[in-house]
Amino acid sequence: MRRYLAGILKEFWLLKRDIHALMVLFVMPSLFILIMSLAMRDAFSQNSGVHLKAMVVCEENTTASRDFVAHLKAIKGFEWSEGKTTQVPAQMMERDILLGVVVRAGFDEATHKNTPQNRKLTVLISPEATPIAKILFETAVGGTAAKINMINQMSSLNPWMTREEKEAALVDKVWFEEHFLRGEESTDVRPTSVQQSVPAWLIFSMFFIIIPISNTFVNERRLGTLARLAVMNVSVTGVLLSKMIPYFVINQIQFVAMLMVGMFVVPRFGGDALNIGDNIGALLVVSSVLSFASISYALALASFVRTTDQAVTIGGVLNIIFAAIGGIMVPLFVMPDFMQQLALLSPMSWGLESFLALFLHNAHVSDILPPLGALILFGSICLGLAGWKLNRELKEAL
Amino acid sequence: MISTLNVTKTFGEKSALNGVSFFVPRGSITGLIGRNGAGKTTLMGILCGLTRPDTGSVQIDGVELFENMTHAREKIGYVPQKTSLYPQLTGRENLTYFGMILGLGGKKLTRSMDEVVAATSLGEVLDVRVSHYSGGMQKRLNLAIGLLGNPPILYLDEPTVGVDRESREIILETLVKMSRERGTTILYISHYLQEIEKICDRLVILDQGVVVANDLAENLLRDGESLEQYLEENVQK
Repeated sequence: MRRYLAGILKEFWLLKRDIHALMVLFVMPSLFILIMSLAMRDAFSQNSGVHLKAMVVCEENTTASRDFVAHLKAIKGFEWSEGKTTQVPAQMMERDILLGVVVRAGFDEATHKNTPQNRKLTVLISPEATPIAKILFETAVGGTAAKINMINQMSSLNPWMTREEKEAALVDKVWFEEHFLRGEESTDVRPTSVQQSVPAWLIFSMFFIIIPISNTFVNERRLGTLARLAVMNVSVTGVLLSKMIPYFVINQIQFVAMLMVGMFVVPRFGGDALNIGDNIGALLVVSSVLSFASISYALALASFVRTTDQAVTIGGVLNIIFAAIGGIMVPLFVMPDFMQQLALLSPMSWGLESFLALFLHNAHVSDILPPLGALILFGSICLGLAGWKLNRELKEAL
Repeated sequence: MISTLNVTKTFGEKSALNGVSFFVPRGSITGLIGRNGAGKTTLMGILCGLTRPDTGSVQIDGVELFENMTHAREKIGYVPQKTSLYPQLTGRENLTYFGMILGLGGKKLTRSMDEVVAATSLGEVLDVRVSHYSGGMQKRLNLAIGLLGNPPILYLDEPTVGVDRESREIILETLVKMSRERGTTILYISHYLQEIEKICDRLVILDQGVVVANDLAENLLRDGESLEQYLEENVQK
């Protein structure tokens, strides 16, 4: 027991003096979470409903134009502002809005006649608007204009109808039922930016445990410290365990710290707060399994390289590749199918899949057994390789 | 005491050790000498229990090494050629870590640390990071770790390579003191023949995996003959 305690103590002493590693483990992911959660908020907001920023300009003050604006603003999915005609292109240049519609003079008169109303409406679309945004906007504007035209046409046909009756005849009529193909419990729920960023960058930083581990482990191999420890009756299992325990603790501190950043820091800067779901026990299981996988991977890598520079370079590049294909840097749901299949090769994606299942679906451990099993298998293979290499090396140590 | 009997080791076709037998009595300082490739490193690996011999046996203080490895190794203090330390830690932290690894704790650890620090004259730099030590200081700390827990048997592999004169003197004096005052059995490997002559009372000379001489130094080096002359005449022909 004292030996394990010695190992833990030593690793903490070493880590305390490894400022660069501490920065990578704690500062880097915190900053990534904050920056990416805020930067991607709007891009991810379509997952919790469309919020396209648009401006409406009225060049005439009539009942029809006021009705048009009121109906337009009632359509979900747009974040409306009002302004002047000249402001529309200016704000598009500033990227404050993507879409604009100008109600030109003569709109009211046109809606009472059977003249196509859109001739009195000018739609402005930013080049940065996606085709889907453009279609949504034009449908909203066209539909609203048709509605106003219909109300006014009804007035011509039936002047005794009250305004409320006319509205009731047209407004809020839903002509279809909504059915999701996968039923109400669809699993295709997409994360918000903070739900994506926190687990993604947490996993990324957990895999960067390679830096402090290789800093000590490669030196221990190079300087013959492992041989010395072997003569002191420390087994290979003892060496590996005494490294796993302190770094497991470090990983768990990272886990709690990054959740805190998502829950309390990101909202302070205007982002959404992270909702971690109800299953805290399952979260701890995921973070523990991830930690086992990342530490074992780091130990395996540190066992095979010759220098710390090699470990940091190879480990860093592999981590970035794992992150790029694993949905850490680019969310999986925006990737094409073949890339989503490729992501299955990355242990980071197994961890991310597990976390997202807990955040988005309040899943239980039994629901995420496949990715957790993959992580455990990956970690066990890595640990086995590290043990095999160390055993072999100790026989040739002197 | 250390005894080996008929130890052989081959790597593929190459014979590294061929029937090596020698005896190191308790309390003696025995110099293990040989040219590069003579088999010293392989023998040290076997004596540490890191390499298993093909045949033969090794006894450490009467305990069969490869039958009761843990017990036998508890008797060994090992000072490797490389300074196997943690440069980012202080001398005190290094000693504490290795002391705890040896199972020392509390007052036992403090007492043992005080002893080895005094023996190696490291008191003034104990709380300085090892990366700031001179090469000599690092070698002294390397030795101090080997002395922790007062092991009855001490293996030293080139402990003075790259060491300044002052540190070399301290190391050699410490070893002689350990042998005389505590009866520590010391097996000393070095290329510095003068050091061997100075502190070793017994010599084991290895050549091409075979023990060519194993006797008291005074029996081997007669009439004021130096070790270098002896080796030139008897081994390096």
